[in-house]
Amino acid sequence: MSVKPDKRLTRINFRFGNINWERGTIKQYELEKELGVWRIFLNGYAKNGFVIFDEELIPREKILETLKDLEPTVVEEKTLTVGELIESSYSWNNILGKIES
Amino acid sequence: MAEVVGEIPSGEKEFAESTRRIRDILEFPEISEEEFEALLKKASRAYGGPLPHRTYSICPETRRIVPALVWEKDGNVWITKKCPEGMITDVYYESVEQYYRFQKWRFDFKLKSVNVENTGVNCPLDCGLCARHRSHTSLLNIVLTNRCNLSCWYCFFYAKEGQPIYEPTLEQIRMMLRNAKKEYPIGANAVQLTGGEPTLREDLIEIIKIAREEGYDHVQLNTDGIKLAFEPDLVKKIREAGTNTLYMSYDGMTPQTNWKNHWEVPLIFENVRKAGGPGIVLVPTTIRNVNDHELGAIINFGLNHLDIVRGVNFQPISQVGRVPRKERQRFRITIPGTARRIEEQTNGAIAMDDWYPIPIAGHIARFFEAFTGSRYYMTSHYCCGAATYVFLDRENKRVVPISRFLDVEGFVEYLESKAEEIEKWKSMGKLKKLKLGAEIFMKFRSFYDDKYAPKGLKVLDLIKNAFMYGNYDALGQFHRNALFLGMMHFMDEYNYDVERVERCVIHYAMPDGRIVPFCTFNVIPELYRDKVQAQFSYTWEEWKKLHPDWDYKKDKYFRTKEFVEKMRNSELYRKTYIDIEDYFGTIKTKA
Repeated sequence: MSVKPDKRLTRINFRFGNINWERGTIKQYELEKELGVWRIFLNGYAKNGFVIFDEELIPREKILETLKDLEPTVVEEKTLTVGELIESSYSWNNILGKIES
Repeated sequence: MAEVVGEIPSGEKEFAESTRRIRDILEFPEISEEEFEALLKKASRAYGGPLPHRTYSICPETRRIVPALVWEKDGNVWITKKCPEGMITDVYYESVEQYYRFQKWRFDFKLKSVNVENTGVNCPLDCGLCARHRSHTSLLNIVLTNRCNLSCWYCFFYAKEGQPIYEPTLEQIRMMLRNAKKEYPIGANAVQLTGGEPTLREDLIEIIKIAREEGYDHVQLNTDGIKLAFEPDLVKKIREAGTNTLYMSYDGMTPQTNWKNHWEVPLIFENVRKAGGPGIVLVPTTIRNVNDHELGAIINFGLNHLDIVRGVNFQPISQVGRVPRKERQRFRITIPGTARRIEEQTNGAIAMDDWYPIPIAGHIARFFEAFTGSRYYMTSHYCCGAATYVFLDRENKRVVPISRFLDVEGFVEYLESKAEEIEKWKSMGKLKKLKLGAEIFMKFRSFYDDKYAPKGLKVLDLIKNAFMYGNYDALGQFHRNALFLGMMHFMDEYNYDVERVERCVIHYAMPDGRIVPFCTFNVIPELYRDKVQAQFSYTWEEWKKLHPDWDYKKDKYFRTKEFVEKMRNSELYRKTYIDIEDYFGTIKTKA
């Protein structure tokens, strides 16, 4: 495989000042096509969202430029690895309503 | 007739020849924007509501999610959507009557595990599975490779020379299997290993064993069968490793309609017979004006090889990519259209009413969960699939669908009422269970008509053993005399219905930790299939470095003229295609 589990990705969480469902989905599709974007969700109802991306393939400036019309505010930013992203996606780590003891 | 030999099969010339003659065209109705808006306003919204019904679809051009209307006209069901570039209509279902009969059996399930953080409001742009998905994985697909031994002209998927090669590692495959197995509250039980051509992987046996180790009851290979025709040992090995089914492409009865493996099928059958399995399911991709005149003959063919053929699963064509309206009208066929042709081509032996929607299995599963604790749910949208069983009465050379001697719908309703009863009990001791089993068996007799049942098949014994003693030994006899018939209509950009995707039961596992519905994986490849495989592929150079002895051309199958001549004149070919029974009195098998 070409991608290594320890490859670093960036996650940015946003608030949006000017978004609705339609505009959110259009922008989401536009960015999601990019090979460097690993996960994205722009919620036009809750007016928030996040992008997880590979800065070596897509610079953050391009992400921010694409989202500009939605008036984004960066709420949080962190890094994670591809391995961590995969692990956090597995079904056993995401059971709805399960209370961790 | 075009028949290409002496090269790598691609099907291009055969298809061009097949489509020269147009037998019928499905005219799509016109609907104005005003009519569309008016209908949309009064349309039902809740899942399973009456027509007209409002749903969402995607725009083939811009990929925007757009409101769509499922509506009725002239006995057909249509889907119309308003895209930025205009109105698009396509046929959704070629029978309103069957649409409502199937709708009655809708069944919703709630998946309680997810693979992505989103809420599903942007469905189908960020598939996971997500919190909005309503079915667990009934059949998990894992793409083992994008290498292929054929070069189908329409395929965008297989790796051309010099292109990246997608081949997940054994560890990735194990984790993909485990991910679907651990869905909550019910994990996947069945996996299909697919490609490309999965038999090209040298570690295929190990992969099958891994699927078994991870607890999968059912392992099937989605294959063109070519390698299995020439490597009898491979057939034996995949059976011994735990493969239950070969899900094998089989598009028609002639070298023209089935250019992929017509000449190899006799050898595949022989090798499967010698190896004692796996069972074969024939998979015809069904296309109007191309092979829709051979559907009855394909079923007849399956019935003639019941010792190894377990089923025929018709897949009405999914027209992926940009397809002009005229072309869609020419090739489009839906589940009722396929069933109607089968009725015509079997002289009414297998009629429209003999088919059941897939989610009827959800109602049966509910009973079995209450009664035995086993959980096998299949809860797709009612328009995604159809199925039935037909039995071969060898004594009378008669083909009998299950519905002719069993009131299936009545029996399922009864089972569901029993499920409700059991669910109210706090516990069920052995005696209570035996008593209930006996009660169900006695009641079953009232749904069963012995007069029409195929002779030599002891259905009552089978039911009695299953319900009263939990003994399914008689199932072997059932399988030797029964042929499963199925249909699965995968969607494309034109008939896309988000309500169907939300209920999809056939999923793909991806190495990035997500599990996605079939009809997002393949219909929006730029977000799923192609993108993720690009992220996880080997470059051509990396691949060559890892496999220095590998040569692209060695993967490819070259069908020689000598081979075709040899097969054409062989006894095996004759036995497979020519000297077979005509159970419907309508079949002309010309080879």
